[in-house]
Amino acid sequence: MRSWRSWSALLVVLALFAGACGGSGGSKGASSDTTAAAGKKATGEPIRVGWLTDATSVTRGTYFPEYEGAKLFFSNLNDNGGIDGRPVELLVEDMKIDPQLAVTAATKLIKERNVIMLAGGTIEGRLPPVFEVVRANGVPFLTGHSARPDMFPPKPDPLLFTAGNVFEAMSDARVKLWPKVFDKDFPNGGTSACYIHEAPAAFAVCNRWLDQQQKATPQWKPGTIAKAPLQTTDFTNYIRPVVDSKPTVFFDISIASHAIGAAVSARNLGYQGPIAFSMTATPETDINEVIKQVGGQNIYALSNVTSIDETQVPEVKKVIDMAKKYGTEIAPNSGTLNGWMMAMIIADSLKRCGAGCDRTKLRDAVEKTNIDTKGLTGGNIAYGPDDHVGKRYWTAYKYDTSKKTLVRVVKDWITFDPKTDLLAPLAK
Amino acid sequence: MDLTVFVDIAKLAGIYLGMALGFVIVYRASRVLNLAQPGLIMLGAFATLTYLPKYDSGPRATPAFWLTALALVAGGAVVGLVVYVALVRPMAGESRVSIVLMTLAVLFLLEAAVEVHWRGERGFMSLPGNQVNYTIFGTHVRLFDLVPLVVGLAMWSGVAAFYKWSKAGIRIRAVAESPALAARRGINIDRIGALSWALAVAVAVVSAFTSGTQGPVSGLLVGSALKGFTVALVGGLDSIGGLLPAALIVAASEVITVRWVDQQWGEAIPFVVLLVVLMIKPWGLAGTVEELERV
Repeated sequence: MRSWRSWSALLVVLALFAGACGGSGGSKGASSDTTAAAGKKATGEPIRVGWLTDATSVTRGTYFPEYEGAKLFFSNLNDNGGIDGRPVELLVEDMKIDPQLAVTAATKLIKERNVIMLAGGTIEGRLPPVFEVVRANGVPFLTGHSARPDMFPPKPDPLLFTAGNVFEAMSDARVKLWPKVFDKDFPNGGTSACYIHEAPAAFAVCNRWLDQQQKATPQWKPGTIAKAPLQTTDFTNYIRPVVDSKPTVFFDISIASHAIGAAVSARNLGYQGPIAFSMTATPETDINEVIKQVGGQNIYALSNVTSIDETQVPEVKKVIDMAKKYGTEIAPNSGTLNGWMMAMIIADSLKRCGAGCDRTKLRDAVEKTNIDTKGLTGGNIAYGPDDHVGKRYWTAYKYDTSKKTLVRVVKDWITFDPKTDLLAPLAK
Repeated sequence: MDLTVFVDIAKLAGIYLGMALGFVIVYRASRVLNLAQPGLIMLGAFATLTYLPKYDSGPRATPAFWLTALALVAGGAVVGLVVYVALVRPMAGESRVSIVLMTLAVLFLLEAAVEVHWRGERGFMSLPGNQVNYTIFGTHVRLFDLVPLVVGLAMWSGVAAFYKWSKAGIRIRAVAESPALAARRGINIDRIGALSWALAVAVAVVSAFTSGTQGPVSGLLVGSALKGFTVALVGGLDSIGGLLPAALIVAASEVITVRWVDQQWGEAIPFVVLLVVLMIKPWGLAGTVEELERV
């Protein structure tokens, strides 16, 4: 009896405290500022969030910066009061790109470490076994760069959310973006070549995009598609047909080691035309590797996240400052910004979830997300019962060889709504 | 006239020649099928990525570059010695299967060690001459298209000459023929084994360099280096002479398949070539017939 009274008194105090601190409760355009007390370290019972990433294998460059971005966000948040006085503890497990390892890691985080939610993930093809684990335990999961059709409208899986993309959605968004990037230099269009490493989703990346692009903008015709097996280190053989076909533009989208290998091979084989990267897969740190090898002429990057080079955006500057303060293993890039945004979603959801937050309540809170990303992308990230993806906003950059940074070539953001803008059904 | 197909074949053959040479060196001396060789190539590549000097103005052929490169090759030889002394020598007298499995375990260990230390890092080696180009008979050829073939041939012919004319090489051949007889004639089997492993890993480091002229270093290099194993098997595991035609056959098959048949078959074609050759000549193109029973 006495113990029950103590707990109920504590709950009342926490509820009053939460109420006093205020919370936007999911109102439209809610700010993501969840600090309870600036400059005051959070010291309460930690809120544990599990994070799956590739810390050591071939896709580390794509996924690990997301984890680091989230870690920076929560380090700063925890130093400024946390969530209602409670620090958020990010528990990371290295799943590489191994589905068995992913299941082991997810199970450990959920059952042993008792995390309230999972985040991150790596290659989308490796995630379904993890989804089974989260479904079995009722744990909400927010994926980063890589998404699955499970999250898409009209009937998303109740537990699965994403801040990332599926290949088809990226391809369909690119159909809108492509002419905005290249029509000025190529008003009569041309041919678009495409490189992707051999994978089940390769068809969605290149074939689907090129077909839809030609339908939408007939002046842009499909060019050569090159696909090298994953275990490729010499890309010459695979890229030569692309170069020999003399494409107007070469779109290079793959895991980083492939994307940079393909791009350097293309230049070494004599191709001097535009090479466009997908910056979500090949962030600035990897693009710079290419530039160091073959120079920065005619290098483009398409992205749904603001580039780390846009330091005039205050939130970008903040991430860079936090990276200097707390340190990162990989120099901050757009992946780091994506991770920071994911942390904004998580923190905002935790805040709205309030005292007594559990997995079920947190899931409900995540589903009501509508946050101002403060310039890290082109608009709010918002979910709903029929949409666990939300709108995406796309832009494009070109490498400026005199400034030695990426600069915007598409001033506005292209909006892509997964509810209405898919050009063809997603492959299940 | 477009000579690019010949350029690509020659380049790839040069890379495979270097990768395969390490397998043959170890097998000739100790009859050990060294499955750790791809891992050693990968280790050499990551060490090169880390330690070669980098300059703001780009890679330069400075004395520091050459000294570092030599130090890396020498370091590879030391690693080979350590592997022999610590792992291979203690297993003397054990079944061949056990020793092969040990080398497989070393491969996994090396992969894990590279992951732990370099943590998924990838990038291009800082090699001078990256942008040096020529036009040969109307074909655009880079210096880095020629380096793998020249280096591969130099290593291959150097090792062949070493075996044929040097005292140590003659002793290695004696051990390869009959270890018991060689030991009775006063040849130190241990020293021969250690020398072979040191040479094999030094060759692995040089192979890493040539591989680095073509693409970025990453954990995927192990898969590529396994194709060196197929070349060694196609040529004959104990045959230095068989390596050159084997490398050319495998490289040509791969280039032609990727270019004119199907890109996705390019990965598998070296193994298809291996299957075909072994069905016709189970001991490889130039391997010693007796080796079949031992393997």
